[in-house]
Amino acid sequence: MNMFKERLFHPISKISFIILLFIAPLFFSDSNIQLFIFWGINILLAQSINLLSGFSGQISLGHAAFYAIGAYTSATLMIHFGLSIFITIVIAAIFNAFVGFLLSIPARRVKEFYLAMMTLGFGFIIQEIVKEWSSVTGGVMGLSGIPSAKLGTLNFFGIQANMVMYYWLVLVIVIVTMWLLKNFVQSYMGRSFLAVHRSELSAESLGISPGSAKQLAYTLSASIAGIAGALYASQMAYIGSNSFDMMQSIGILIMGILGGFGTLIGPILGAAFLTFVPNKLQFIQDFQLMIYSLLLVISFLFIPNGFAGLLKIRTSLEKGNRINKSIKAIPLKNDGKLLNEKQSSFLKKSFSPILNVKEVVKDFGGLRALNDVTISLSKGQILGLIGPNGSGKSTLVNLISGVYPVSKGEIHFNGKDITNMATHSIARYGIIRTFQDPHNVPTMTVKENLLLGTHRLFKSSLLACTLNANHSLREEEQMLTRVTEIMELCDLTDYADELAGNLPYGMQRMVEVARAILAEPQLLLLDEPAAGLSEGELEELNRLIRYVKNQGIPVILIDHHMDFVTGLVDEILVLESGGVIYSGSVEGMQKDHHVIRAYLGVEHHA
Amino acid sequence: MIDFQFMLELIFMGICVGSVYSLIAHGFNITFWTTKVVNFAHGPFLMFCSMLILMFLSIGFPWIVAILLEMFSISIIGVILERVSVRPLVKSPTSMGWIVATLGVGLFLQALATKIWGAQALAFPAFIFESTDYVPILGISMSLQYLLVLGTGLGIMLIMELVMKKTIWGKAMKAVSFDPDLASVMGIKSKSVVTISFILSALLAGVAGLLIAPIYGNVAPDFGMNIMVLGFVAAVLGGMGSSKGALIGGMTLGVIEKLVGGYISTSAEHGVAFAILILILAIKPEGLFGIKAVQKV
Amino acid sequence: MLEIKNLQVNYGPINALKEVTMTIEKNKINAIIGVNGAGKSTLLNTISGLVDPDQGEISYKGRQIQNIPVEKRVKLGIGHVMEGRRLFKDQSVHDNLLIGFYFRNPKEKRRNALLKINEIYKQFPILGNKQNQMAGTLSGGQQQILIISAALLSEPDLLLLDEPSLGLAPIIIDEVYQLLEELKSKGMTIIISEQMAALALRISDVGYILERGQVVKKGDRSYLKSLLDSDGLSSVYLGKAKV
Repeated sequence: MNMFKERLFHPISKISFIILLFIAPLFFSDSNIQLFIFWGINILLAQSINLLSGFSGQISLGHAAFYAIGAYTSATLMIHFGLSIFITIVIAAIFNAFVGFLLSIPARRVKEFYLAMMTLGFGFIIQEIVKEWSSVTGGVMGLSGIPSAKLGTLNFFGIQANMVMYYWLVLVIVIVTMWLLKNFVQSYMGRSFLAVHRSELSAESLGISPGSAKQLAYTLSASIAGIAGALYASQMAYIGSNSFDMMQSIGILIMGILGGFGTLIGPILGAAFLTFVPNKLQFIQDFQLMIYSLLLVISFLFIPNGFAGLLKIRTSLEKGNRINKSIKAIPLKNDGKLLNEKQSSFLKKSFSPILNVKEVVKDFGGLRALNDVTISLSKGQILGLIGPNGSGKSTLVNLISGVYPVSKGEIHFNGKDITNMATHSIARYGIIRTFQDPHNVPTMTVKENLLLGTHRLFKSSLLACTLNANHSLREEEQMLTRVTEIMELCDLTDYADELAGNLPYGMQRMVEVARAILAEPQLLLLDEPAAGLSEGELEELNRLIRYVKNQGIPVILIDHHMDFVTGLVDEILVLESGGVIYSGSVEGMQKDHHVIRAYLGVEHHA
Repeated sequence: MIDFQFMLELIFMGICVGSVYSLIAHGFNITFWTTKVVNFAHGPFLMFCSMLILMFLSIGFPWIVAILLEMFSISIIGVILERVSVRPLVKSPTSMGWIVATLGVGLFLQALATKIWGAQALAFPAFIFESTDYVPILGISMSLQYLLVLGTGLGIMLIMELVMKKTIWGKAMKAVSFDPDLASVMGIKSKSVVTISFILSALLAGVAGLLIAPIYGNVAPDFGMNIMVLGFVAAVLGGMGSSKGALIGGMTLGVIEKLVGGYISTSAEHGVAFAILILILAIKPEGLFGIKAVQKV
Repeated sequence: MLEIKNLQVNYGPINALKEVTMTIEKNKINAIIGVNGAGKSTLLNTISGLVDPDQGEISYKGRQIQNIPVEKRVKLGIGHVMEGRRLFKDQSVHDNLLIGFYFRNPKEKRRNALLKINEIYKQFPILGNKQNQMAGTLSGGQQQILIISAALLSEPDLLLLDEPSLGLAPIIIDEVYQLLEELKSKGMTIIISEQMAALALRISDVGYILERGQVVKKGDRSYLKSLLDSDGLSSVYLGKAKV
């Protein structure tokens, strides 16, 4: 199977496959050419929903709306203004991107079934508009007379285009879109989509703004669907509101789910299935709707990862292979050091407190979770945070990282007031945290998860990423080098290409801590990193935290393993029912009556 | 004066149409209470119920038998939906699974209805009242059909409020939704409560189908989905999970729709409803009367 | 009363419980002592049926129960007070008690619901005074009393309490513990989990110390007390003292 797959994805077989696709129509009947054109259009649709629902996790039940807008935009521009299809496709893509952006403004704020209903409603609105706005869309009568290769009314640069030429146009567009998409999903932006999909909170803790990521996803996805719509209009020569009803939206969704969300090959297969199978089997056509709906019911139960999952196809989300091939041996700016120049110079500066938490209070309803806590932390210092269950340790970390708003008090970091700022903004200032249960993206490899840690350090633009501009590749390579280094440090090298979700629990924790370190934190918050680790893993974690300390990065460490904590920290803070009962050295704590009482329940005569 | 009466009539119509939406919203609420699941097949359920009644009537059964058979069938479909599309998927980290799976069941019913009865709209006979039965109230003539829907909508809201607040079963349902583990430690069969909630929700779809179809005069396989989204708008307007909210939300939506239809254009009616959905979700997702939930980490 | 043999529970790749074997005798207070994450809650949850074991057997009154659903185990007489003061905070005190009574008792007894609840109000007047308030508005101690009362309404033979002292003021802990001793004198068997060893040992007859899902030490009160005094426990909690 693997041998076969390797051969299948070898560049030579890829190129010969593409050449074959170019020559094929010359030997096809017209109806077959048409079928392949529909496959191409469906691929675009499937990739469009794949980007939105598969990668960034935003369900869409009204995707046909984007398809419709693209089709009507292109069609009216061609009919009324006589514009060339090349121009109308571009306009349809841009206009649709704009519509997608507009929809994202409300849509980025809602989740789950609310979003599902909202997109369903969006689909209905657009369909209503298409039906009612008859002066432009032709209403229920539809719009006919669209220049089409089928009727010989379509011109490419003054030459009358035939079906084969139109096929080539579609083919070129599909290939270019696929190439751009591949570059995109393998860039830091593409990875951020999956991070948002897995957990918005965890994405935010790495400096990713879920709102912006979703906005980009809607914009790009809508734009691709727009291109598909424009191609569809010219293929059919006639469009009516029925072509863009809910069933169409469902069809698009099925292509994505059945093919396999989150891969690039899957949707191609899903599109092929929905294009060719109903066409070849009359029986299926009769029961098309029923079969589609049954597919919806069973797909998540039996093939949650679609065809791609069945074939064990996965799309890599980093450009390691691409870089190894083309730009070898670029001198590294940072001489292979994990932290770059800027970072270490920052660390050499003063030893004044970097974090100041002043008289912070947190109330949940009537319950006071944290009462008047004040801490200050200097560079290179490790602060241990301990206390019985429910004493407010995690709450404190959640306040510093901006997950909860504070009820009273102030938090300053590096001289800036960060009280009640958004989590991703705080993360961009360099406060990076981990969670009690590992928040890695389970469907990403270890390497890709670690790359996610470096997200906030990337500077390449969207265009540079999708066009694989040289400087963006170099940036990706730099980050990959850092990732490789830290994998060696944590003994993760052997698992680089393993999916994070398949790793043993302890290793997942290590990946999360390593990921946080790769974000070049200026303050690291570790919430129970040792929970569930074996002795050996504990030692490794110990080494990793010491490494961080040696870099001068201050750390706040919550944990229950006292041996582990006391061996690491410079200072310790003990919380009980939301208040500080002890603050100072470890030795002092072990003799402190309050602490002993809090942990053992009695005054202890030791 | 004529204008004022016209407006009154529109508002009355809106309230009555709105109580249809609130019937659907109640249906959403019941399963939402127990599982936080919104059944995306609820609209097709409603459509299928109308179709079933029509079929049983055409066989020659009297109304009462047709209704009983319909209610029985939809309960079974409700149980199947819960077993197939909800139970196995509700615990997965994303909601995409159960959304897609319940939607799939809905579309299957829609496809089945199309296969059996054709895609065209079928005439639905009058139930209890004729569409020409009017009573004059406050100078405007009110359709008895609409009044029946309004009365049923109000009645169901009252019953649901009573059941939820006063009976042990309502308390058990609330308990299951609040903390299923604790509920089972207290001896409540959490799974059965969930199944019962899906049956009740399906029955409500049955009632809605019975009352709405005579007003529309005809039913087509695709009318369920559209009206379902309107019912969802009502539920969201009133705040998901609130019985009073469902009623008020439904009526608010109905009145806005009718006013838009009367003064601007009837073709804009539904469009406005969908626009309200998008707006309310974006601005105040907890609904006009809902309470904001606290995010947990 | 309760026999646990070779119990093993895995959460994904983690072993939450490893080969736990214990014999709980009738009419005794048994303490499960351990730090956070040692597996105390998992053990109690497995006994009450909230968690399915991956391996091992649990027999209660001579009957294998590991495959019986939670609701049925409740009817067999296993009461469970879960960790973190869980109650239906959005429902009134009275409704919490009503739910606690109704579903765990056979039909003929249900008629006496109000009678039974009134007995509770007599015993804890504070609950009676606040019976119409939302349970979430009670203080921590009152909530704990309410939870235990609700559990008692099913008249369990075996009561599991998961860290009942958590976050309570010492004086209220005393109250709760006094209540437990009363229950024991009425013939109930109790298993209590505690983070604080000394606290648990105040009332328990037998103690088990759990570390990373395994029972590392067990014995009667005097044995465990001697461990506590010799600093053997202190290090478990506070780390090995660096001198």
